This record gives sequence, C-alpha cells and structure tokens, in this order.
Amino acid sequence: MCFSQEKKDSILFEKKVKEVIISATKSSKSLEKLPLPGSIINKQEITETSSNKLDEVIEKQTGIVSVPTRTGAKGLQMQGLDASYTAILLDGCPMVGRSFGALDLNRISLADIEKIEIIRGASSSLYGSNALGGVINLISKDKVKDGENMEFGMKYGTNNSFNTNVLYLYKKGRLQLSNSLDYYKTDGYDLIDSDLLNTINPFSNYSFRSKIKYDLTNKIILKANTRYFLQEQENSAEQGNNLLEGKSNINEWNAGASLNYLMFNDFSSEAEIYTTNYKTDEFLENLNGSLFDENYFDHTLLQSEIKNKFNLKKMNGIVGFGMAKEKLERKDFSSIAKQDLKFIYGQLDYTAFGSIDIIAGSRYDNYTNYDPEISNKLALGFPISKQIKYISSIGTGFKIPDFRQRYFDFTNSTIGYTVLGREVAFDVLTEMEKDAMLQNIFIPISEINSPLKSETSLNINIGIKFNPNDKVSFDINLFKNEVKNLIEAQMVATKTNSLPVFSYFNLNQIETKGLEFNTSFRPNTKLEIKAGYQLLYAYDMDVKDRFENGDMYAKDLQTLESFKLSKEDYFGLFNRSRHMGNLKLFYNLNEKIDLHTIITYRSKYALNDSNGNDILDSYDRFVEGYALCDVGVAHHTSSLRSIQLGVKNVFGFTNPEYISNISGRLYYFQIKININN
Amino acid sequence: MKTKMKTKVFLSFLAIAFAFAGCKKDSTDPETVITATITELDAQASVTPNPPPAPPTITGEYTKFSFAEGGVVEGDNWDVAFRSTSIIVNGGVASDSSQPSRTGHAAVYLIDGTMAEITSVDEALLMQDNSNVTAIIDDMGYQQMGWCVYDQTTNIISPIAGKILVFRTHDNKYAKVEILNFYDSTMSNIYGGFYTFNYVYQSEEGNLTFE
Repeated sequence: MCFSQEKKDSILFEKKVKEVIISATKSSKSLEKLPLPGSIINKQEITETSSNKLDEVIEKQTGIVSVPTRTGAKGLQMQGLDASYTAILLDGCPMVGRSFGALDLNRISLADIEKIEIIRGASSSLYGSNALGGVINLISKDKVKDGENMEFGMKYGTNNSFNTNVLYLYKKGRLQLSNSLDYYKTDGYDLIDSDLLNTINPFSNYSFRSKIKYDLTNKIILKANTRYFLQEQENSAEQGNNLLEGKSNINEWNAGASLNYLMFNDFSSEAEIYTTNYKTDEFLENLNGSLFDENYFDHTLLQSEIKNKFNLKKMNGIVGFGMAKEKLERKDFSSIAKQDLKFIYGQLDYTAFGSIDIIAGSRYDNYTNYDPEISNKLALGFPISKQIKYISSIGTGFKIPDFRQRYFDFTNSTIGYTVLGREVAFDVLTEMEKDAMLQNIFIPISEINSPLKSETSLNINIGIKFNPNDKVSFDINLFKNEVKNLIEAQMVATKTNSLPVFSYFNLNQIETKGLEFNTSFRPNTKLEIKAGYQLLYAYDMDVKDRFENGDMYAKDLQTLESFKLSKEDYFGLFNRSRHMGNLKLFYNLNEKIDLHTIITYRSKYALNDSNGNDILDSYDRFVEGYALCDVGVAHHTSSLRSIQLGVKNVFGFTNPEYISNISGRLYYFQIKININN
Repeated sequence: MKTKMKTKVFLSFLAIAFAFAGCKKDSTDPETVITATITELDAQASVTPNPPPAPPTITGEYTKFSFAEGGVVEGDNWDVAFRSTSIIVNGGVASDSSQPSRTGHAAVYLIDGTMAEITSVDEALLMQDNSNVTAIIDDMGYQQMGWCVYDQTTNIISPIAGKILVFRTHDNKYAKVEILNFYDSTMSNIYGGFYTFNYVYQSEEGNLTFE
C-alpha cells in the first residue's frame, strides 16, 4: 500500500529478501532455516491481487481449498484436513466463532496485515487444541516508520460489492500506533433462479482494529490491541412455497495486552492476556411477521500466557505456560457450557554443527474433566549440498471435543427428533427410558456414560528445498496425517414416535497423505512466476479395510443393480481433490504498470455418494474439475497513488448445483492512496 | 461346525449337480425358478414433513406383496409388506397396530452380495418380526442397519448397494430380492415409497437354491 517504499523492498524486483516466520517458534526465525513446511503470503501478493479479506488470498495457496459450510461461510481445507483442524490466529492469538467447524475467512480484514504465515502439519505442541492440522497466523505490521502514515483504499465490483479501508500508522519516540477500519458490503448473488432463495444473501460488515505499542524503557515494551467486528446479513429460508425472512448478525470483539521484559540480552519474558467474544443472533419470520425461529450463539475465551524466551548463539528456546477459560452460551444447550484449561509448553530451536537445524517441542494441555493431552514435535533440517536442504518433521496434535458434541440438547420442537451431546446423553436417555419414550435402543445406554475422547493426529513431513540460484527455487514436501477418534453423530435409539435420537461417538480414523510442490522463478527483474501443486490421497481407514476385505458394492447407475467393487475403486473422502494446482504470474511492464494472472485448478471430487454405498468410489458421479483464472492490472499514477482493475474468474465458471462459493465473473476497480507525513 | 461344513460341501455339490442337470433338462422340466422385476410398487405412506435433517413422521396402510402372485394381494397370502422404508413379513409378531394380520410362516434376512452371488438360502439366518423390532430393521436409512441409506445433504433415500433380502414365503418357499429404487420416475413423492426391485422366486417347496 505504501508504494514508494514497498516497491523497492518488493521481492519481485530485488534479490529475494530473507523472510522471517514467527509462527513456528513464537519468535522470529529465518524461513530458510525452518525445518518445517511453513510458508508466507507476503504483502506484495496481498496488495497486487487486491485482496482485502483473508478468503481472497488464502484460496490461491497451494493445497488450500476454500470450502463452503452449510451456513454459506467459507472455511478452509489444508493437507486434506477439515477446516475445524486449522487454528486461525491474529498476531498469535486464536480466533473463536466457528460454524460446523469452519471459521468464516471473510470476517478477517487484511487492512493492517503485513503477511500471512501458514504452518502445515500438526502444531498442537505450540498452540494446543485446534492446531491439529496446522496454523494460519495473520501478522500485522510491527515496525512503523516515524511520523504519520495513512493508507486509504476503496474497491467496487460486481454484485454491488463495495469495500473501503483506512489504515493509520503513527510513531513518535517510544509510542507506536496502528488503527484500521474496514467496511465491506455486497448484494450477494444467486446461482439458482428457480428457488426463492439467494445463494448468498446481501450482507455488510465493519471491522475496526487498533494497536498500541509503547517502549516503557529500552527493556520493557507494552503492547495492547483491540478489534471489533460487526456483520449484518439478511437471513432467509424456504418453507413449502413460502419465503421466511429475517436477519443474521455477528458481533465479535477481541482485546489483548502484553508486557515484554528483556531481562538480559539473551533472555526475555512476556506476559500476555487475551480475550475474545463471538456472538451471533439470528431470526426468521413468517410472512405475517410472527417469529418462526430464532437462534443465538455466544462464545467467550479468556487466556493468559507467560512466555520466557532465551536466545543463545546456537540455541533459542521458549518455555510458556498459561491458562484459559472458555464459555459458550447458545440455543439448545441445557446450561452454559464451560471449560478451563491449564497448559505448559517448551520448545528448543538448536543449530548443531553450524548447519543442522533442530526443533523439539512439547506441550501439556490439561482441560477440566479430560485426560491431559501431550503433544510433541520434532523437526530436523540439514543441507545436503550448497543448494539442497533436507527437512523433516514429526508431530502430534489433538482437538478437544467441541461444546456442541458435548452439551447439545436439541429436540425438534414441532415433531421431536433429538440430538444429544455426549455429556448430557446418558442422563437424558435414562430419563426417556424410564418414561417409556424409547422404542428401539441400538446402542446400550450404559455405553454412553463415558466422555468423548479428543481427536488426535500424527503428522509427518519430509521435504527438500532446492535453490540452484537466486532466480529459481523448488520446494517439495511429502506429508501424511493420521487422525484418530474422529467424532461423528450416530443414532442411539428411536423414540416411540419412531424418530431417531442421536449422540456423538469417537468413530473413524482417517488418513491424508500426498505431496506438495512449490516453485518460484524470477528470470529477470520484471517477471516472477510461481507454481504450486498438491497430490492428495485421503481415506477413511475403516472403509479402506472394507475394500481390502472385498465387501464393498455399488449400484450400477443405469441398471441400479449391485456389483462388487475392487479395492482400487476406493476414491477416498468426500470433498477432496486428487490434484490441485496454481500458477501465478507477476509482471512489471514498466515503472508504473504491474500485471498479474493467477490460475488455480482443482480436479474432480464429490460431495456425496450417488451409487448406494455411502462412500466415494470411482463409479460415483463427481463434481467436475475446474480452473479459475484471475487477471489484474495496477497503475501507479504516482508513488503514492494507484489504480487497480481486474477480473476474478475471467471465464465466468459456475456450478450452481454443487459449488455455492464461486459466484461467476467478478469485475473490480480499486483506488489506493497513501499519505505520508 | 463340521456338520455345517459338510452341509455346505453337500450343498455346493448339489448346486453343481443341479447346474449340470439344469443344462440338460432345460427344455423338458417345468422351470421352478421365476425371475421378475417389479416396477414402482406403490407403498407410499402418509408422510408428515419435518424440517431436515429430521425424518418425516410416517403413518398409513402397508402394501402386501406375494411372490407367487407376482404382485399386490389383499388376502392373507402375502409374503412381504411395505410401507415407506419399513418392510415386514407374514410371520412372527406385529410390532405396531397398523401392521396387517399375520397368518403365514414368512421370515427374512439381509445379506451382503449381488443377486448372482446369493445362490441358496441359509435357513439359520432367517428371522421373523417380533413385538419390538422387525427382522429388517427400519432405521429410515440413518444408520444403514436396514436396506437403505439416507443422505442428509440431498434428503434422498437409496437402497444400499450389495444388500440382498432373502425371504421364506408365507407358505415355506424361498425368494431373494434386490431393491433397486425407492422413488418413481417422476419423483412425484419426495418421500418415496415406490419400490422397484428384482426378485428370484423358487416355487418348488423345500428347494433352498435359486438355480
């Protein structure tokens, strides 16, 4: 955004700058020396692609797919793992507020974000639950230039989408300030005309974020930040031939403060407190204005943490501990759900024999009413030659059962099927049995009288980084994730009205494995080409066993008769593509004009079974593979001003039946103005 | 165990013998095995919709079917009766007052395989309905304990691939059935209740094979 400066620094035009990653060690670490699969989306990529919200840029990264949830929000899939397994952090602090496990990425404004760090693979050894599959950490600008700086952006595009943001930065002496405001509104879009509903209803949101940093002394730094997010969306549903209308609102805030004390040159201690609240309110009204349905969700997290870091010549280390309180109040919980956590972790980052990088860490999480979880990580990297570096890591992760899986107590009010969280199921079912409300019991009630176990993962990465010269780089990474004790709903009984009662169980085990490949090529100072590819195999292990044993069948889609499947016919989990790729071209035509093109590809996948076996085999109907192409041009009218024009999804690809989050061709126009003082 | 093995060996021997015999006798002997397809047998129930993912509430009459007649019957000579996803047999005890009266010896079991793979009846597996639960469990497709699977994203009920229903009829004959579809071609009822199925009926009493 501050083009005058950014331009000179930009990696496009200069030799590659040494990038620094924070998320892997909770302190700055050279990306080059990191023995884990970590990557960075830098400011240049964010700016050049006119990305103002996290979803716009994250879905262009290798191996990351933006997947729509049942509520229309966009979540992400990484290394073939569901959205619920990736922790989303804002300057290291976790965001809450997920719908069916996915955190809506459109909630996150990039106005004050300097870079986005992505750690693939289990990261629970630093971040605990929810980081089972990886971490996405949005890092805001930490070092501000002296004086006042303002960045202003305005963007308008198809679907009447309007986005404006202002970033104000200030530094004088020991004080540093950053304030950002972002407003977004869209009319949404409708891919299917034949029904009464929109695919995405109109919505608008504001986010405001303020950060302050004050150096009390040379050794003591005080930081505080606050963020507020407000969203209003039209809500609608179809009942029979009637349209029900209402509103769906989100209120979210977070606030944090930290005190960093550099006790000695090589030892510092940081105390941090952080709290966040995510609240939704929604309702639907009948045509006559009477209330049809309402819903609320109110999730609070309060967390405090002490981080002690030491930095010796060859060895950096961190020991942290803390506690967290979490609370969820929502419709269909019999009481307010609460949980407390105490945790302690330590990690060493050691360079042996001058060139061997080792990271070893462990974390102990103790949730009330749960067995403690210990998560570990060990990573090793060393140069094979001057240009080639080997990296490998192994880690474990876990995800504590979520509040819904534990405390849900939902009975459909008009008819009465029931869903029970595991911690209320035993009592409720015992009561129902006593009152003779149960007809068939499929799972003995006594078996439900134990808490759910955490979902756990084992993650392995083995990779090579190859940098033959300054112009070219290749990264290749083989990965494997095994996730056990997957929690899913299962029918426990039927009631006398013959409707089912569900509860949650640790059932399946899945495996995702594959290969990720990234390359970047800068033939000259004007052109940069990046390409990425992911090969993915994702299986349910029980289903795989059934295939091995030869007892899997499918219905012929023409005759509807069954036939036996062979073990090669198992395609894998739903919503996983075997191949994904991207190609990004950034071209600097002259001093004033930048061009870019981004192509992303996703091979065929399926969202549900079509041939009578509830699994995905090669005879099923698939959602066809597709490619999306974005193009854009930026004209820097002066060092402080620019205009960007672009088209996302140039070929207007849509698939109304299966893909709700691709809206067709999107034109946009953006102005950016930078005011330096 | 041993006797079972022996029976199996004996049975397969028999099967081979029959196969051989069948080849030769095709033209002379009356065929006792009847193969047919029933299309869109109407077993719709009165269905009260519930908001998804809840299954609907189901009431109404059962549609009675006879393998010997090859169609719907009204009398006591029925073998199997259908109502929406629920399948009952003319044998055992009713589990609910809306079920028709039972006078026969019918029984059933569900087994994995294709129609071609299931060549004979394993009598030990046959079960009758009882007062608590029907022999073919009706879970409305939620748990795949019965013959169908319910897809919560599309709200479609489909027959589970590779599930064959093996029946003893009300008068001690045998039949095997593969259900192909639960909806009519026009999807006139989103809750289905139209059974299209293939069946093979062994009309010779005491003959446990379908070949």
